[in-house]
Amino acid sequence: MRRTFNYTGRSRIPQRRANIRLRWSTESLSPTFIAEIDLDELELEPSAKVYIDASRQDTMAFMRFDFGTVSKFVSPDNTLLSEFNRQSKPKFYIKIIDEDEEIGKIIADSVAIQAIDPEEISRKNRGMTLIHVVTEDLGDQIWKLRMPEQDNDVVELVLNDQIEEVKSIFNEDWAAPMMLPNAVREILTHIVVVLKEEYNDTGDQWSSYWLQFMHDFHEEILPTFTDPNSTDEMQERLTWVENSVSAFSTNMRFKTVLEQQLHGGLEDEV
Amino acid sequence: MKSERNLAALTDQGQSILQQYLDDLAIDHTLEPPFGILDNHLYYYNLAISKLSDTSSPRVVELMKFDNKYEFANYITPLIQDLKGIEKNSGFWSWLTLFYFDQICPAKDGRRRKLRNAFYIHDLDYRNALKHHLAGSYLLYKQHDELSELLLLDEMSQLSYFREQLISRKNFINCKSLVEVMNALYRDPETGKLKAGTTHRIEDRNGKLIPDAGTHRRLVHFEKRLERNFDFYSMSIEQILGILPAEFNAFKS
Repeated sequence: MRRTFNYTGRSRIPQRRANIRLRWSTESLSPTFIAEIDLDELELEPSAKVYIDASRQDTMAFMRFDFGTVSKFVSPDNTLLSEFNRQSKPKFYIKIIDEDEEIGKIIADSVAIQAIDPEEISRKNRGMTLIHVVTEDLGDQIWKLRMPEQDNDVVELVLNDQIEEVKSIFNEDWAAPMMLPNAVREILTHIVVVLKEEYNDTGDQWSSYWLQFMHDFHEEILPTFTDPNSTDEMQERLTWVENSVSAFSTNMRFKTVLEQQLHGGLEDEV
Repeated sequence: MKSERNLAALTDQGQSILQQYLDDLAIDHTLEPPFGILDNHLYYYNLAISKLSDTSSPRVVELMKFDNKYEFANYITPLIQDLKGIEKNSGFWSWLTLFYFDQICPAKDGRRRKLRNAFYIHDLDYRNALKHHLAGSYLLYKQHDELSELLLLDEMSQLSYFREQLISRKNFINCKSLVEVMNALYRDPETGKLKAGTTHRIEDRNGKLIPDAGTHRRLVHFEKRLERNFDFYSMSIEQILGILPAEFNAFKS
């Protein structure tokens, strides 16, 4: 059974406290970015350094930007993301580092943050990001999910960029009812069956965020493992996943949304 | 086959043929590569250098012999590093793979021993990018320059146990300070090769092979444990070496 404890004293910077926005210009194929981070109430050492890292794993691109200290947050003069472009945007990670007493010690960090891109008209609502949307050549597959390798990463919904305007297809009202239940089922199954995670009300790993998110829709407590090899307990968890997906679908009114898309609100006319 | 070519990329059809060939080669090891598609415009197109770079000078690759992947990366990097999006241009890497296929998957006694397709087809999945024989070598060299040599000493057709373990930890392999630590611990300064014992494994009490103390897999293990506490990007090589446990002392000398 996999359990995760945080004995490090490290704080997690919630995504809602960070606002990172890309800016495009005609002078470069790469964007710059502006960042606002609310570090109040986190009780961080005022002299600790604030860095924002921009990175992509597939191209090994990595850039670090120095934003001063906790008490004196200053944007650097140049935030040009020269290693990135429209086809290859970075994820951002905020790190608060103690460089005085314990060199290189991380005293707070964030999960991966996807910047707000003004060119992405589809991104209407922010809130906490549980899924990042990326595009790749998937051959004949339309979409797939990629589970994080690290605790502080985010599930990726990979869309096939060989399909013209693929992102706009997924923004259609019928898209969510058709694909989200399966996506949620796959993610939850990975968390509770493959990783064998337990529910943690205060956990700050990607898997904890998902379980906390599902708890809003489905209050049934995730059955705990007493014996990870027990098929009965595994089955209980799979049943919990199915019930969660069902509650999620009900809450999102997927059936009604799809019917309205198919029949144009015909039910109302009866 | 021509010994010099302008940089090009396989079309979707060309990539399908290469993919099919690799699938078939797994069953019939005597099949010859589809070199013919390198001369058929249905299956390839020359890269539009002027659109990809500020300098529109022609880019020509030669069919030359490389002793290892470091030599290859050293050769190809100046030719392509300014080409926008080249890292993720799957058609280009497939074309280059086919161009050098006799080195990447050499025939011995008329038979070719193929590894997994991800070593030949750049499928754009970041978990596979560094395993690709050519794209992975280029990415490592571009990121770490001469520091990447220890990772790229394997023959063009191989992926060493040393490299395979280290590239599997993206946080490790992206971080220059950690790659410097890797060199400090495991590079023999006289030969430029791996120190003896770097990849050594021992049997545990159940007879299972496990990494020996201080070896490269133990370094990856400690990096994973320490990354939640330490920001390796802001640390010097000396600072990182200073927090490693005593089991690494034998390699520090």
